[in-house]
Amino acid sequence: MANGRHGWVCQTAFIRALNSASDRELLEQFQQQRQTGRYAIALICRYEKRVADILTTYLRQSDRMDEYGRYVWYHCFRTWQTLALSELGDIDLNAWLETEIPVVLKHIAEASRSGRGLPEEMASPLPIPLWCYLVQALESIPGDLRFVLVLSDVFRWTPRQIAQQLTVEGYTLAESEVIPTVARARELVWHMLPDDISSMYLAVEAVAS
Amino acid sequence: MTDVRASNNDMTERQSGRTPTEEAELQQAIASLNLDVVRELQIFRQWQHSGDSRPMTPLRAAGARSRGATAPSSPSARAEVNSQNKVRSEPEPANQTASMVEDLDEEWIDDGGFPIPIPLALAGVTLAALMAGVGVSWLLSPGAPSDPSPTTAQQASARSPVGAGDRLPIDLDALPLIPVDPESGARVRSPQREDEAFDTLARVDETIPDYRPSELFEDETLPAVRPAFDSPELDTRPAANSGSLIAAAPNLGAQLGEGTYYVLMDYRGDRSLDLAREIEPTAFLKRFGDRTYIQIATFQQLEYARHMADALSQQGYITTVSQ
Repeated sequence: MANGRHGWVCQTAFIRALNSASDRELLEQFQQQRQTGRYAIALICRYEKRVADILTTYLRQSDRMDEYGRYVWYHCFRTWQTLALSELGDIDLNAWLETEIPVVLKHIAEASRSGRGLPEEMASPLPIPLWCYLVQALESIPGDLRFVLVLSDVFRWTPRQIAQQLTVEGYTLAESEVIPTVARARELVWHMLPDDISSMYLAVEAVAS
Repeated sequence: MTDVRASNNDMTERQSGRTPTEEAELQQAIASLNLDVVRELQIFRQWQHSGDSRPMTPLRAAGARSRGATAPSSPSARAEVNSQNKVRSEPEPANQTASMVEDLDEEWIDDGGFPIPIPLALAGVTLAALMAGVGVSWLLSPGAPSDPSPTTAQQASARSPVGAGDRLPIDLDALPLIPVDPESGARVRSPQREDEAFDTLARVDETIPDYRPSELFEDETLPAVRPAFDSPELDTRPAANSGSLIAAAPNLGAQLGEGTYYVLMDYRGDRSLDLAREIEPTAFLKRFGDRTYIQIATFQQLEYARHMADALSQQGYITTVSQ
């Protein structure tokens, strides 16, 4: 099942094999092997509890703790992809998180004051690694494909309704092409998910067996 | 375009190993994302506006320049359309002109003309006046010998680079129309642009006082009607027992002419859209400025729009009509 926590993944030999790797090594592999998700999983497994503790320190009790956590994790996920490791010297992600998370929370607070707050998509039942890769994939595919895919899969609009909405937006797509387009968008998302992420979170029956 | 297709090929190869379970799980994972449809609309529009700087996708082939046309289905056809778009500055054959028409509502403007010296222009005007005089004399006495120079409009236009013969080589009736409301059969030639629609709506809103059912209708004996939305702040009392909001707009009387009249409902979340689609399955979201509405239908006749708004009002739906 894709939903739920991913704690069991941290206990797999596939991830535990990385326990001895340093933060720098994990970050380097995370940056270099974009089609492999195990390094991101290993980093999340390693620091998930620490991030939760830091959030509790600043937020104490919040009904939206999970959403804040996802916001922070997605920020880390994207930041680590382009972090200039050569300029950082010895990397201590524990210290990095203690510095970075308050900055992120301050950014959220400023956004809240201007009426925006946490984006809606921060609430999700998906495991954080899968969710990060999925959100990133949706942000990466072309806007037309994303729009059609989301209307179809998330909001359950019919092909006719989607074609009608696109027409209003000045974008012509025949009703008969909506379903193939959704399939193409889904394939593109699938292609952007690392193989190990797909096999661990989207083919659980195979893993469980 | 090439890159996307290449990646599609890669995907096909990789996709061959995908199991139905993974396919279903991916669909379920996407479905579980907590997204906002209005924000998705904004993202799509932002992408559209920055579309020129983004890689062109196969889906992009039928872009805003060919709103009235049907999207080509095959990649090669799309590539052909794209290549046509890229060489738009070249002369287009007459049989391709129809597919290049952006908007029939726009006037035919020859904006690429040559600068004409004033004396030459005056000479042209004089010549045109002379020819008109000859034409009138020919009409009065057709049997009289005429000047060897072209005297009819058709002959004159045959020599003119922008003559009447070249002006409209298109059979307008044969061009594709965009169905705005397939259910009601109302069709317009192109969707109204958002900024224009917003301007119009803003003007109409100025003339329509705020809708207060409790102020307009005090008759509590009216039969109970279905509430429009499950919104706690919404007054679910009967919205109207006669007439629609449009009746309050003095500039939109029943006798006034034709145009494009929108029947709109306020968008108040997915539930409101679901309810609207119980009325009209093709209802969609339309954004005017910072407000989002659900467009139920579009009519060319005000009376039809008013009739629909009346019917919906009697069912408890709060609707408005905008031109």
